[in-house]
Amino acid sequence: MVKREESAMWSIFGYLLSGLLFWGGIGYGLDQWLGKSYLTLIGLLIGVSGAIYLVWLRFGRE
Amino acid sequence: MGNVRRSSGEGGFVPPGSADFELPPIFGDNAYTTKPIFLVFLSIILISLFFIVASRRAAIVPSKLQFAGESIYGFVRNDLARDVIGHDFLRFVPYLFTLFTFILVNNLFGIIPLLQFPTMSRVSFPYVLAVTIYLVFHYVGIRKQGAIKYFKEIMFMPGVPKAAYILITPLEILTFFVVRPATLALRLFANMFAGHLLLLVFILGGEHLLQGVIGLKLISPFAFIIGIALTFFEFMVQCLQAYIFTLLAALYIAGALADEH
Repeated sequence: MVKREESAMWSIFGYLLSGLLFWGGIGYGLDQWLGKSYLTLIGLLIGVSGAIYLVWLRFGRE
Repeated sequence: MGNVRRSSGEGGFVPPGSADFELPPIFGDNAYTTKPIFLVFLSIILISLFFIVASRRAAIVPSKLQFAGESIYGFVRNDLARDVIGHDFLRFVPYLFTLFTFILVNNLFGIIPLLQFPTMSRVSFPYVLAVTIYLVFHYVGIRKQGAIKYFKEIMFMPGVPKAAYILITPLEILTFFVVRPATLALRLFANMFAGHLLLLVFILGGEHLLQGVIGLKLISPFAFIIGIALTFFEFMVQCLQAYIFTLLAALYIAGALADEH
């Protein structure tokens, strides 16, 4: 059904964006604080993994 | 209205940009009298008139106008509200119907000759609409389930190992309270902004080519033809964006009403 797919698509997009923003933001903050440069990348990767896990929980389990 | 945009300035072609969306006030220095504000009022007048006339003297055998009005209403009521929200959808129909017609008419202003400015390409209008949706769907969620249960359902999905909550709970909170309403507004804004800019590029470009040497004059019709084709394309985008905005609003309300998201 078109509406279901549309809604699923934008939910997934929202989760991925939140994941990158939140954990990437924490990584960036730690980088600034500790004077490192790789924590932003680690944060972004954690964020994407979390978001994909969440997408799987929402849409993949049924 | 008033000022005419010209394609060439002192240094040749002036490419369209975000400055083309910052229209000067019409009356003096009053910043509340810009074109988008008038377009919003015009849209409200047009929508009200249309549906008042269409629903007056409603007959069993409908006139063409009544049929048109009822088709739009029926579309929002059945295809958006009933299909998405399910039972108890009727009390959201007025809101969704207002949202849909308001956005649709304001988007269509982008291609109506002489008006030719999509109101929603000024970002504050979509923001305000998104704020109303934000208030509505959190309010109905809290009313239906109680504040504690509602927020608990958002933050802690059942059937997930406890350690995983550290990873996903912040994402759920951010998605529900920031990303969803923000993307809702920005999607509408960006589509209208980009569409208007695209039309400006081809039509102003065509006009500028007309002022060039004979070779350039011969090319200019192609720019205008593409401009006209894009106008039809924009019509499609404008309808689609009004639909998607209302659909997502209905989906968020449905999500807040459902016991499990």
